[in-house]
Amino acid sequence: MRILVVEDEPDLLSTIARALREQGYAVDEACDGKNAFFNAFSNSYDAIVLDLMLPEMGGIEFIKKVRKSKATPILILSALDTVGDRVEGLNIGADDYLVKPFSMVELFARLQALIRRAAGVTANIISVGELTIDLGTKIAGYAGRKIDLTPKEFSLLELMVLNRNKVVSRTAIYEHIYDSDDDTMSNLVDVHIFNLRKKLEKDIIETRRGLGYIICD
Amino acid sequence: MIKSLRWKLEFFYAGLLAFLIVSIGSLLYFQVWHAVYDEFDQRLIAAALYLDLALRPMPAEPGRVMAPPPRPDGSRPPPPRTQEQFLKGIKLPEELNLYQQSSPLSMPVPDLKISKHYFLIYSNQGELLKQENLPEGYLVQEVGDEIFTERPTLKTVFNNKRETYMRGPRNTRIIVGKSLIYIKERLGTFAFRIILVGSFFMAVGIFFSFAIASRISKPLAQMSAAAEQISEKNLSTPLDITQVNSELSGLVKVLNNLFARLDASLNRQKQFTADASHELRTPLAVIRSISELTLSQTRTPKEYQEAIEISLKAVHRMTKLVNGLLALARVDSYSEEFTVQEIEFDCLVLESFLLLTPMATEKQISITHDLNPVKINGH
Repeated sequence: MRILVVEDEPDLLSTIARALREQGYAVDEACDGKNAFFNAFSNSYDAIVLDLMLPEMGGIEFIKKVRKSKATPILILSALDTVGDRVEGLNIGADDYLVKPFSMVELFARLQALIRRAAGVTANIISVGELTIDLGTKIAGYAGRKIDLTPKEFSLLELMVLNRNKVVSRTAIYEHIYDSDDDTMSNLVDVHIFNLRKKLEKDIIETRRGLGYIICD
Repeated sequence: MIKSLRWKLEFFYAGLLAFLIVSIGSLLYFQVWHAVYDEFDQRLIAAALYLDLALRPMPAEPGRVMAPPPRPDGSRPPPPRTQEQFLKGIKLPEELNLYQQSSPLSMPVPDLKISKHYFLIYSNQGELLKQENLPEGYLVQEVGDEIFTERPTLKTVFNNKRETYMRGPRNTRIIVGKSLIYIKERLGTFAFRIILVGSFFMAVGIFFSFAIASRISKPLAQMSAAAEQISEKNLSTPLDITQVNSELSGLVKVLNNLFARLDASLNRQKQFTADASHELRTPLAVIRSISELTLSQTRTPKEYQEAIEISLKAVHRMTKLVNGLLALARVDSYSEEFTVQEIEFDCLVLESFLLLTPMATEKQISITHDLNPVKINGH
């Protein structure tokens, strides 16, 4: 899952980015509104964490411009705590509002909920056949036993499960599990798929030649 | 109530109206009073003159009546009337009182006895020759002889009768009088009617003045209601100047100006609070998030050190901000610790220049200065 973090305070930006990376997300960072808009426009993110008071382009304007072309879930992370500010942010197109200073676990939970909801899933635990994955604890199980996955592998599995019954292209997988700083080759996706299939012991990931991969119910 | 514009208007208007009604009423009453008395006197004089005329053919004296000579045909003419007989025939014409029936004031005709003229005729020697219609209990007024002249003289007697005195033919003295009770009653009724009509107009006038005062004070009340709404809801929407009368537009402009200034200062305060909270919350968020992140799993000593450094930086930032806020608060409360003094600004700039020069040279940037001595007030 790939997330864009927009924050003008560098220490806070790097801290949030680090924390999200430790959670297994691919994270892009932007420190002003213009860069953020460029990133948001040219990549497809699963969620955007946004500060409101930004140089170059304010958070509100950013949301307005992004909403013209994208439906990416946006979580506002702001020091402005009045009801008026929250209402304005949500009304303009944001999906959630968190006031600084915030708790990291709350930020994780809210982001998880946003991503889940965007995929049309309501519970944190998703089952596909005998495969079960818990989006909160990042644990996957198959037929009652736990499977050890690397963060990237879990991320890939999460993407496939959230988009089950749909073909997910290799480019989409690459875009969603790696951030823009990663210079890895796209054939790494095949490696991850191979490893996942090995760990799951049963081939629930089907290959659609020339299109991508799919998990069916 | 004394302060109320509406009640002041009301009182002023009522006073003016009362003054007008009373003065017009008085004028009218006086005019009618005058006309009625004038008419009354005219009739008295007419009656006296009539008697004067009627008395002219009076036989000389009682007892001295000579039998007229016989007529050529031998018949004896009827004997001439004696003075007594003559006087018996003297009467005032009924027409004198005619107006009472066709009175424009259409008052009921009172007791005829009171409303009729009475008269007395004295001889030269002061002997009463004739009296007629004398009201009951009438006392002959003792009047001086000089009052009886060729022309009738008028006088009010006993406060409720008016009499005219005149010297008639053969030095007779004629007194004609009439009771004033009837016209006094008439005038009293008339005054009562004037008061009634005046009160009615007064009441109508006050009612209209209430309506007018309400109309005048209504826009004021509306305006204050609108102003109240605005101050409660949103200061930035001004009062509509086109909706009020031109007399009030000045006030509306002043109010709108006031609201605009209030709005601006409130906005500044809001902006300040937002800025301050942003500036304070962001470092707090840094400290909290880096601490939570670092504590979420075991880290290397280097990572701990980094986290503490980041936190310390945030703490420094907050300290600076809090100090600034406190200084501002002190300025606001005019604390004694804050004293404005004269500062040599050029020296201050020069100091900063000297501090920056080594850093600049290090980066191969050259800085020059061109300073004039300037003094400013500051802290």
